[in-house]
Amino acid sequence: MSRFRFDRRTFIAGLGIGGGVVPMLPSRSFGATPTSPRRLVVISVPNGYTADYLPEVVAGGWRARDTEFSPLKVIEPWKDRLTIMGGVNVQNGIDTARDVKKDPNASIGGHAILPFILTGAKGMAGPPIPDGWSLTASHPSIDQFVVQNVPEIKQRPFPSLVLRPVRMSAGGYGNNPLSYSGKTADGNSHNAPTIRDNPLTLFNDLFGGNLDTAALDKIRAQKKSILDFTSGQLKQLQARVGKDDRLRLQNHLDGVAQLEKQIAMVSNACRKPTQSASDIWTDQQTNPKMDLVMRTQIDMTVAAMACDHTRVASHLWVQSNNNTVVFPWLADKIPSLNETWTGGETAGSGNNLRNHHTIAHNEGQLKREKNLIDRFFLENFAYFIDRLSSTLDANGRPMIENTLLLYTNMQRSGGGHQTDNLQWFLAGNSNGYFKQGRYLPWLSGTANRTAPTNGLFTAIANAMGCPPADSFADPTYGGEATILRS
Amino acid sequence: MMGITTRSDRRWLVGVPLFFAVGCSGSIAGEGGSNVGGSGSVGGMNEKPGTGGTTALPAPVGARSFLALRPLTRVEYNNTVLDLLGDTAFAGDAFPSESAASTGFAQVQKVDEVNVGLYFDAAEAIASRSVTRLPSLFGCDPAGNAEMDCISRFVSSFGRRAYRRPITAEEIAEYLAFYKNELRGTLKLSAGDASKALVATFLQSPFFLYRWENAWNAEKDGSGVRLGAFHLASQLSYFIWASMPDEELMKAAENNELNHTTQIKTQVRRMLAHVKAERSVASFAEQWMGVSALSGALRSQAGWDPILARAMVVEIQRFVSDTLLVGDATLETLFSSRQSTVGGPLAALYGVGDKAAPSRSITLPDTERRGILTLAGVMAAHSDENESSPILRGKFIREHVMCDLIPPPPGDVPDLDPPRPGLSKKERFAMHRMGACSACHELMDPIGFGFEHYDNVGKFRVTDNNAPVDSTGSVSNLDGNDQTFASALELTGLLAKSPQVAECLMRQFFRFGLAKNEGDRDEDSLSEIFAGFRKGGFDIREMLVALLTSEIVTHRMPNAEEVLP
Repeated sequence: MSRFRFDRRTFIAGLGIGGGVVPMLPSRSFGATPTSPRRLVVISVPNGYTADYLPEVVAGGWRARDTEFSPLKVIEPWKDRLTIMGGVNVQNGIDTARDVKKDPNASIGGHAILPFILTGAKGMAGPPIPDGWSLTASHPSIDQFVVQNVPEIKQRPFPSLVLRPVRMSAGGYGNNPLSYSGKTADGNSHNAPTIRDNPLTLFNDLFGGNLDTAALDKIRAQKKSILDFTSGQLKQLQARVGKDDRLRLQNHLDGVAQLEKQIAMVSNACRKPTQSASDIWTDQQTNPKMDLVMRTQIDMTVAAMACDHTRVASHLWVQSNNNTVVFPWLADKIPSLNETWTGGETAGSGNNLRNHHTIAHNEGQLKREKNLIDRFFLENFAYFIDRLSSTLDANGRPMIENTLLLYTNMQRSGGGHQTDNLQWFLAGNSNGYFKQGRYLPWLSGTANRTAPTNGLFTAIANAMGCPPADSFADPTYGGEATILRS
Repeated sequence: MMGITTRSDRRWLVGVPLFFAVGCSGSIAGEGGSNVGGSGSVGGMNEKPGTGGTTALPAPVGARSFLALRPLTRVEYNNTVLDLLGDTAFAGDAFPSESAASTGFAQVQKVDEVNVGLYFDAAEAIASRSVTRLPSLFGCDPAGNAEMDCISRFVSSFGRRAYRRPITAEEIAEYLAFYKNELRGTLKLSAGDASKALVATFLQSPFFLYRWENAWNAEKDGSGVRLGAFHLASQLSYFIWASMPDEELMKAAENNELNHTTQIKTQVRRMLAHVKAERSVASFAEQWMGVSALSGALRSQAGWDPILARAMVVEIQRFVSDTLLVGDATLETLFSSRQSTVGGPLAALYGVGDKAAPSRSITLPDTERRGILTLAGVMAAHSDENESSPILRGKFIREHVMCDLIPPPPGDVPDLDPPRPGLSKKERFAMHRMGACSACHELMDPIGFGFEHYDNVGKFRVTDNNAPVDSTGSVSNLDGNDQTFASALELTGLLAKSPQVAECLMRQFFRFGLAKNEGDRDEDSLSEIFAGFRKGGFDIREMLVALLTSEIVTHRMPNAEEVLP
């Protein structure tokens, strides 16, 4: 990826001209008027959850369970903006074991699920890794699918931000990416967008130049003057051509009008975020300040979206087994999180602190720790929602109204590794496409019946303005999950 | 048996049943409307904008077809910017990809907010680059004393080239007012920035982006109109060069020297001899051979990568432009020549050099390849990811080379069974096309089997799956006859002499160069051009001269509600 400098000249290109427009296709006009660009954030966390992660059904909705470090407590304030979806199956991953490995008894556990969690298609042979699960995606993940299929998203200076808060080494399924661009070309590597981790580099790429408000206003005025001139000429030509050609030119004129709106729309919230301290980053596989990296990556994602540098972001929190990730910043709540773990599995990662993987495997014994860690990740999800709710688009509405956030967990229980019947979250919205504020114990709409991810992804793709489709990736996994719709 | 349109169909007078095999099942009327396979009206699709192509348009024989307002394609935009400003950045590559229109060739389907935004970005970028050499671009210094005089002269001369027609006094005045406002209005731009805005505005003007060069200055001629001189000049230059007219052609238009066929012929011959003609022929070759997407295709073979794919496409472009523009330009040569120019990775695939070898002329191995259809890129493009595809190859020959149409397959076709021991490829395909599928597949597969010596990256082979390659096949209804052949080399020999193939090529050039399908109203001219084509031994260059000087290009019908003098 080329570095994008925020100097004045490139700013002209980056201001949101290049197709930065809300599509107004009559066939998909589910919002009354165009409001702001539609955006998508996907998040994935590993290692499952305890029973305390499930909401308690109460009259009129749900509430978080009343336990110590109850994970859902932290997202409860955002109830109205999100939907809890239960009964989600990564069916394409489950079927990959059978169909690609040709082994009816094989199963892909939660640690090996990343090439399938967002792709909706059975996998294919991929980069060799030691444990034999050498598989990769055969279809773009939902975030990259949106990038590839919505021209105005693809044309952003950053078509997507693919982030991870810790530097990983290559190799092993623990290092599989979350986002994929499609099939692998050579079978020896994943076909995946570049992953950015170091927040200092990211800051320079996104906000390295100056953001001068007066200069921006002038640039906007100048663009408008050019577009006004073009409109005048289009009308002159329109007067001279035949009936059908007049309609062709009307499309062009409408496009110019949309562009003018778009220029006015680039959010006043486009402000350079505060640069994080330089000591929060380390190139190691474990980072005692990972929590701060996560925060700054969220801040930068929100700012980049406010400036319309990008409309799609993918956050992997963190690798799919997390046996190098420890949580010293939580030691003020549970001091043992700073201690060496002496019993049970040590997961062979080179560090023997209480890492996420080990705690997950011992979730019975270490339930408080597990809940606290899951709460930590959900706190960041809540922070994301909070930032998007308090940052306004140019139309004065909170950005969250046109930003969709999908929060996924890679497995069900920490020790069980199941990839069926998962509980995920969908927050925010996309021009009012989704009916939020609900607990849907079964995404399928039928009790005790699980649903493949494809219905959810079909809904997201359609909501984001991809060419309308009845299915995603593999039609045999069914159509859109209309239960999510407004 | 399949539902072939009868030879008494008017369309067959010049040989090509456009909807030759609609339905493949004998049930013509059941497929897509009452007009299909009817009196020949289907060929008029797209000829009149907005009619949806299904209505037979009553018109006197000899009248011209309609011409729709059309934006520059990406290739045309890039070439035009290159010729206008010397800008080589190919900014148009960022525009949305163009899908093949009903003509089979790429067109901008619709200009909407996405295109407009990208036009804006491209114009800004190109203008930024061009104003770095401001005095030479303007012919004067806009920051100097006589600034408005300088701007005025620039607008007048640049406008004529950008609009491909003289720019009017009113238009000049509008540009001057715009420039003044940028400079002295609320924006208070520097002379450099205002000049940049000026250039960017030209590049977003509909008079630049659309091909309608004073088209309203058309002269009534019979039931149609004769194109105005500037419109005609652009029709010629975009057909032959995929770019704007040069100064000589503009002068000819200004001096009324495009009135007579002999005058137009002189220009056409001059332009075909110019190196710029390669641009258009290359674009035609790539699309006609169906290789535009090859660089992004997946092929399950070691060594397959976008660089090799690109070398294949370039070979095809060179092969066609060398044959048509430099060589004897005959159909025979196009389908049988073994002279080619290949770059490194492709030379290795052909077994005539190593990967690092620079691009050079070669003679293709006599027993392996002959003519354009046997080039590696054509074979690779019409293959599956994992194996060669007789179906896709047969379909390609049938549709692109013979101009027959095969309906799309039904939605519920199962995958082809994977190879298994004891079952030959032909048997495997025969199983696949049993039952209802056979009518259509009989039109494709037996042709495609002729190319079995080329694997899914176009490499020559003598065995496939440990069995000797069987490349025998047949082609039904070629010039009305069913023929068998032992290999692709024999098949291309048949195609090289086929009037049907020659006529198809003529029609493909029509569709490519005029961005519309031929209509009933073009058929008389096409008959005449084809007769000359045939008489001249299928000399493609001469056929193009005849096509470009015919009323097909010089005339059109006025559009509904169009304002004409």
